[in-house]
Amino acid sequence: MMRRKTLTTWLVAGIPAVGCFLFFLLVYPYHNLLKEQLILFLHSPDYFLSYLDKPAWLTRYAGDMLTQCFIHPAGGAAIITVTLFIIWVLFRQLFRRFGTGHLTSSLLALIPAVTEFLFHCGLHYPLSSTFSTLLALLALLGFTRLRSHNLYLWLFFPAAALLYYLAGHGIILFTIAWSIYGILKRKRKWYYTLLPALAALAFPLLMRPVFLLTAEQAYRHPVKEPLTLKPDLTWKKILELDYESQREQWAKVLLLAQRYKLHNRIASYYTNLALSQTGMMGEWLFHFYQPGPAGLFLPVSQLSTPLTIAFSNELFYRLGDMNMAQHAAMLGTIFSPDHRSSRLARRLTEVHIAIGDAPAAGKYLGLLDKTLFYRKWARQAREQLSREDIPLRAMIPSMDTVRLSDDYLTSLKFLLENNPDNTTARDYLLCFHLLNKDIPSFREAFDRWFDTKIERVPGVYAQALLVSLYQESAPDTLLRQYNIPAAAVNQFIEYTRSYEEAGGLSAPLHDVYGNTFWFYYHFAIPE
Amino acid sequence: MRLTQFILLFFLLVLPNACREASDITISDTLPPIYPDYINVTIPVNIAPLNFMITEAEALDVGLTTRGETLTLKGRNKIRIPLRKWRSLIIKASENQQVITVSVRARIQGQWYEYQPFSWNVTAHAVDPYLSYRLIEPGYEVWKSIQLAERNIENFGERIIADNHLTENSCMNCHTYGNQDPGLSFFHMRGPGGGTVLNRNGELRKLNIFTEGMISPVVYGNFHPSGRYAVYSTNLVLPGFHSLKGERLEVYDQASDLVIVDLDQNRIIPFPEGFPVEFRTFPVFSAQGDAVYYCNAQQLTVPDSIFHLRYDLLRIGFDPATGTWGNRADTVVRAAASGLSVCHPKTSPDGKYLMYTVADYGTFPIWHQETDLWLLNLATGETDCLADINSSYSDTYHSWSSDSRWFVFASKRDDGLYGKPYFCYIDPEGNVHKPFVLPQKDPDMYRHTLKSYNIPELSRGKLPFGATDIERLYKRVPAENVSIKQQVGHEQGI
Repeated sequence: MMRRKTLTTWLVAGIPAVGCFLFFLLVYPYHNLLKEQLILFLHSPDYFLSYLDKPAWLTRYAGDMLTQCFIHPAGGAAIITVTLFIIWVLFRQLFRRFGTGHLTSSLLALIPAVTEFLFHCGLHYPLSSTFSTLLALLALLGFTRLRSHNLYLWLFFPAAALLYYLAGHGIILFTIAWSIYGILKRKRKWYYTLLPALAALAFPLLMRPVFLLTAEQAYRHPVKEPLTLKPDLTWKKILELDYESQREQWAKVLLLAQRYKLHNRIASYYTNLALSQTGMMGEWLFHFYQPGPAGLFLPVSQLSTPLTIAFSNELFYRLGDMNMAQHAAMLGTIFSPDHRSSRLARRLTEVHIAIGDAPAAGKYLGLLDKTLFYRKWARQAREQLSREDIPLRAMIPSMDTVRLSDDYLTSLKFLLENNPDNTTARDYLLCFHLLNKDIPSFREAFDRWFDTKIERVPGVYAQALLVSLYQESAPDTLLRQYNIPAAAVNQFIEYTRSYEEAGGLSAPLHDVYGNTFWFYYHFAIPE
Repeated sequence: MRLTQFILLFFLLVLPNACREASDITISDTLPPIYPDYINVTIPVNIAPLNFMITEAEALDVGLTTRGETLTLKGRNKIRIPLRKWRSLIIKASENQQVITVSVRARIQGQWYEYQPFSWNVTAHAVDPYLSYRLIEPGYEVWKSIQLAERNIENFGERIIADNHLTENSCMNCHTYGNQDPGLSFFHMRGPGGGTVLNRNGELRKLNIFTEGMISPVVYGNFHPSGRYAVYSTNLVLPGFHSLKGERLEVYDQASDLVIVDLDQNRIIPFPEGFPVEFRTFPVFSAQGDAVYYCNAQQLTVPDSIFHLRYDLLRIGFDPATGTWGNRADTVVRAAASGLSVCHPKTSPDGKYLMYTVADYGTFPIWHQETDLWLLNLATGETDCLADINSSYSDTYHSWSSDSRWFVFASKRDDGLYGKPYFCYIDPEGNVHKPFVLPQKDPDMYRHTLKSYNIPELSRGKLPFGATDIERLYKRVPAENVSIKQQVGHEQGI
């Protein structure tokens, strides 16, 4: 009987634990991978001391230390699973102390553990928050073991104050559970527990000026951002695109984009980046969802979200626009949860290596040297400092101009003027005009930067050229100069006929022409 | 028996090591590679300990000697000098007009090196003991975390005097003192509850210094020595980005002008009419308060002509008795003609010097690597381009100490990205000494931080307010409005 009870108890936790591990390992690893990238945990005394000036320092330090292990999906999955399992064990213990039965305690303890699991599916939930709950539970269980009623009463407030400093919002759970336990199990009159409980709950408010927190921050710490309570599969897919882009697995990015068919600006941004890096932008641009020019760049402005800012440097870096890449990476760093990010520190290092600025690169390498998992990367990057043959260097402009951060057109033109071989900039410039449906500008840019004598005209560009030539009633001789394939010309004639027959409706054309510039030109409404 | 064995073991292990250390030391003919660079600097008698490190060292053995007294310190790769012992040592050196000689031995890759000693020249001229600065990541356009901090430079105490997390993440501009007096200062807060925060002996006021006829709310400013007036620029500012590697941000004015604010009467005194429409910015009062120095440039189309935008330094009279501007502006530094641009003029409190920043062009020198500090002797008219103290990166945002013997400035000399406060001594003969960076408890701190120290300003004492006072001001106190004074004439023109 006893053995069966134990088995049931462990099955209640064991099956969800295995499920949790597999979920974060196989289905939902990208949130954890990004969380690791948005911290920069340093192994140095100075960095440790920086935690002490805010509440929840212990749980924040421990949480961040373990979050760096999220660098591998198995690390994140294992750490979250073990932490949630401990949460379940401690809650179960607590319910047992309240006198509930074995099975009931086990089942009840699943509720907070599952809630924590759902929180961890969000992008902004820190591991430190779970540790705060965990520390509060440990403190509670310690109190329930106290035999002396006086100690139970008199030790409470110092313990709550200490707990706040060590575990932040854990003080709330601790105080509420301590009060209930005191009334129910210690048979204390409710008014005996009320005063210390209110004092403990007011403590964060009283300490707020010391820690320089708003009232809300004082009670939430170490949670900073609004929480979500469910897995977000759209974000999971976007983060998968982001992760594969970082690994330069461009073919995989395109396959994923084709499979997911996301109507999302960030997804389009990564898809277009992959198209440009595989040289397929001029062919396949309209095989994927295009929200207009907004799908080419992620803005870095006051209206941007922290994540779009963090992602926006990827394109600038590959375009060779190092100042904008640096700007975006710096702002991404600023908007990381603790204003530090391993991912963006590496990007800033790469940018400064590319421009040959060793002192600035050294600043970030010095930080990465003090990490557990990027030391080796920093050592290898340091060797690049003295190298002359950095491939990106050729793409960096040697002349100067000043432009606004969202003046992409000026930037692209300038990059091309400095280096006409910058095909990424050329594709982005041409596609920028196409997605704007600006045929004259496309034609002008095409004529200037595309040599049809040595390069085959990609399909999308051919389609746009045909529109341009048609609009100006160009002679056949001009058409021949562009070397546009006859099949494309015939398809254009066919499309024009079908378009007239469709009477302005898109549906009859979608299946055959949905992937063409002509269809986009007539029917798409850019965001 | 055990005691005998222990003694034997002690001699066997320790003595050979001691002998080996003494004989295996390599005498180096170079100075030690310490960080921060505190080699042969002049320091004030009241500065905090100059803790330093040698990154590669496995062990350090340091001696600080003055007048026969030696303070011996050991560390792994960092030397942290105890505050009390430091205080005693530095006072002794100052009283006896002696230097502190620093001898450094370091073990690097198992080998001990003894470097050439260097000195710390202690001057009895104390620097103002408090320093305020804005801590901000060197990003631009958008911000997240901004703090104004006050540091006691006699120890390592730092206090946050304003934190934008408490003021709805609004932007905060840098903190400016009048006469280096902690009882007279201002800074601007932006956002719905924002305004110019005016501190007069701890009484905080919030002013909305923007009214019809002004280009924008006030930006760069400076107090009149009387404390009654403040002069400000009003600027329509735009940020642009360079494309050339190494050049980063350019912030430029689309329009700019000057106003004086009568802080007693909440009244704006606009710049006199009759002057050409030009860019006017970075105003400061003269030490006597009878004139305003400011930077002036011909209005150009920006950003197209940004590389030709150059500012001269001008001076216009001001009569504090009547609160009126003069009607003639004189050029003090004709920089534009030399292909240079002047920014951030600051007069020394004794009225002897005017220090300013020189860049190749533009009005935002913090991201111009070529930016240097220049010193104009107002008595002789001689200019010193301070070659010994400027670096190959931006050196700017300077502030004087109340006795005019020290100035502090923000320099990006380490990495070109992050500004740090450097102190520099001007002796009575006008010689400028090698600057040193603000000491930190952990000398490695500057390498870890991702914050820039923006616009460091010295003060004679501790500010009488804190971050929660600013929070209350932002959230609960309505801003006082100002009115504009009708132009009735100028100082000499009535």
